[in-house]
Amino acid sequence: MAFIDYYKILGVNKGASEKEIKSAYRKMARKHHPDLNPNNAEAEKQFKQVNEANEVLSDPEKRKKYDKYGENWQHGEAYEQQQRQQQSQQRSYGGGGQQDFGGFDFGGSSNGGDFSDFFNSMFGGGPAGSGGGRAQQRYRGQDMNASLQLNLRDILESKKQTITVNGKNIRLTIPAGIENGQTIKIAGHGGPGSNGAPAGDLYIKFAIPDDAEFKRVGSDLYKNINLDLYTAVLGGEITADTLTGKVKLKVAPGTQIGTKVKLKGKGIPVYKKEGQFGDLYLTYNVQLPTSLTEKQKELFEELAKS
Amino acid sequence: MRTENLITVNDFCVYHNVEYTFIDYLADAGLVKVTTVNKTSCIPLDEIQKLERLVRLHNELEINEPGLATINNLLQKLDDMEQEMSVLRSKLKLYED
Repeated sequence: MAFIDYYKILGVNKGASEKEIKSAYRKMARKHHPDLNPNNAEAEKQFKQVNEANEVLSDPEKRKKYDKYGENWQHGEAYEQQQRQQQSQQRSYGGGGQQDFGGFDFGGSSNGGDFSDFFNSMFGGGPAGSGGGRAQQRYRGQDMNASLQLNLRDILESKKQTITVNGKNIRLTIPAGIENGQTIKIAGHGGPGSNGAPAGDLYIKFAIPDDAEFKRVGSDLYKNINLDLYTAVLGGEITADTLTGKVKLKVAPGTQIGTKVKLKGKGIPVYKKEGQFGDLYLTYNVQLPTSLTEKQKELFEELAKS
Repeated sequence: MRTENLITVNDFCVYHNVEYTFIDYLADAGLVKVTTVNKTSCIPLDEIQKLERLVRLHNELEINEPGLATINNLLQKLDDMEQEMSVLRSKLKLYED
């Protein structure tokens, strides 16, 4: 691997202060940032180099090693160990001749390829022998979030649904009775991973606003229903809407305002409990007549006297 | 069933670790579209890519909100010019051939 002069990349000299390095990094990052240079592969490559240079030079420990060992700063310890071993061998055998470093080439020329693989592996990159080039880190893809709005009628039974997220069609089963604000995870449908890393997950949050007619509390539903005065007083039969259709109800004579009636099993399916349903609670609201005919007025007056 | 391709602003802010006011500014400046559904501010999915680019520029390059507006404007101009250049190149090729 050819020597990379991080100072040259950032355009600073070897004695640059931390502040100068930071400032130079910002300047170069702004110059080569891929978002500011769309469709420019060269800029992207330079941006990566600028980041790598900053990673090394902004860290005092790494910078010290880099200054000492040049491009092979990460292997400084291995180099030192090698050196110690070599010196020890030279003393033991009394040899004074020149020996090479057995595979470690710090000149960056002939055996640079071998070292480069080691260098890459230190960065968490590809396996040895995968060829030269810069470190290739594996990043799991980004998790993605999406929201799906449903209404109460959509969750009365489990449904298979195809949704489109970022141009990809995803099939999912929406379980009956899912709660407002509940999130389900679809593994592997997030952003793609880099360099063979797994894709992220897709989180779908369900928004199920209250219906105009029905208020939901867990699996139970609540609804107000209007009764005319005569039915409330004398009793009778009414038709009430539920989420699954109309039902006939008997109203007892003398039904009071605010009386609650429970319709068993007419609520929302209980989440992940097949065959179980919540209840529907109807609250009677008695409507008083507002414009009485003369005849009706007389009859009410008679009633009031009796 | 109605499928909404929306992400709540809150979810986006939590995920990207950005301030709610940042999105507010971008929306006020017309840089991203934010819609309100059931009193909840949401971002259409087709705006996410653009918004994430602005977040990256803000976080990675420490560009403030007015700077982002300027950059966005310049990038748009650049894009328009590149398209125009491509059309002109095609026309020129017709004459050259």
